[in-house]
Amino acid sequence: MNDEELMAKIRLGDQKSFIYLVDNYKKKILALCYSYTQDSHEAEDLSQDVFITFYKNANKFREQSSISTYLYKIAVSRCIDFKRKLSIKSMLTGIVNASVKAEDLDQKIYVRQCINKLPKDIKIPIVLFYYVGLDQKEIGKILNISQKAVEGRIYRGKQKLRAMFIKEDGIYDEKKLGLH
Amino acid sequence: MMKKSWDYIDCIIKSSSHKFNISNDYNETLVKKLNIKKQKEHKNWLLEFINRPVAASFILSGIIMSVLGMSNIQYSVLNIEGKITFQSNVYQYECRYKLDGVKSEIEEWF
Repeated sequence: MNDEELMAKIRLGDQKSFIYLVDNYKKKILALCYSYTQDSHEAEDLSQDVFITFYKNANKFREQSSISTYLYKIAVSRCIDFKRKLSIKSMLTGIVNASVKAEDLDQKIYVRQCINKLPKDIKIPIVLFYYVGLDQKEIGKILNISQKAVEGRIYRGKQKLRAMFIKEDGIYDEKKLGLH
Repeated sequence: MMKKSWDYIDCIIKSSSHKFNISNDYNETLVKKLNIKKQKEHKNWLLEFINRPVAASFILSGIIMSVLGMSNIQYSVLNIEGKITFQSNVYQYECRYKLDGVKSEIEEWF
C-alpha cells in the first residue's frame, strides 16, 4: 500500500489502515518521544497523542511530503510542547533536575542526560539521527533545513557531547565500553 | 564535517538508545483514546448547537432591555424638563406677585 492509498483510507476513517500506519512507525516515534520524556509510560502517552493528532489532521495533509515526514514533524512539535510544559511545571513546583555525577548513573542514562542538555536545535537532529535512525536528508525535510545544516548540527552536537564525556573520565573510555 | 564511517562518539550515542518493550495493548489504548476524543468532539458540537438558541435569546433580551432602558431615560429626561419648566413658571409668578406687591405699596405712599 503506497502513501496515497493509505492516506485516502485514513481520511475516510478506516481504522485498520490507521493501525497499519501506527504499527509501521510506533517504534521510531516512541524512540523520539522517550528522548524527551525519559519515561516509558509517558513516552507511550505522548506517541499516542502524536498518532491521534495525525489522524485528526489527516485532511490537512497535502501530500507535498511523505507520510513519515509529516508524522515526524508532528512528533517533533509535540515533543517540544511536552518539554515546554514540563519546564513550566517544574518552575511552578520548584523541582529542579539535580545534576547527578556520571559514576552514580548507568552510563547509557548519563549519555541520554547529556543529549538532553543539548540545545533544542542540536538535540533534535541528534535524536532523529541516532535514536530514530533517519538519514540526514529526511531530517532536513522534517526540520525545513538543508542536509548540510543537519550535518553541521550533528557535528556540533558530537563536539559538545565529546566535551561533556571528557569531563567525566569514565565515559570516554573505549576499552571500558568495549566498542572498539 | 561528519564522517561517513561511525567513530567512537557515534557508537557511544547509538548504544545509549533505550530498548523498548511496547505494551501489548498499545493499539487498543490508542483506538480507545481516539474514540473518546471523537465522542468529546461530538459532545462539544452538540453543546455548541444546543446553546445557540439560548445564546441568541439572551442577546435579544439584552437588546430589548437596552431599548427599554433607553426609553426610560428619555422619559425621565422629559419629566425633568417638565418639572424645570413648571418650577420656572412658579418662580416667575412669585417674582411678579412680589413686584406687584412692592409696586402697590409704593403707589400707596405717593
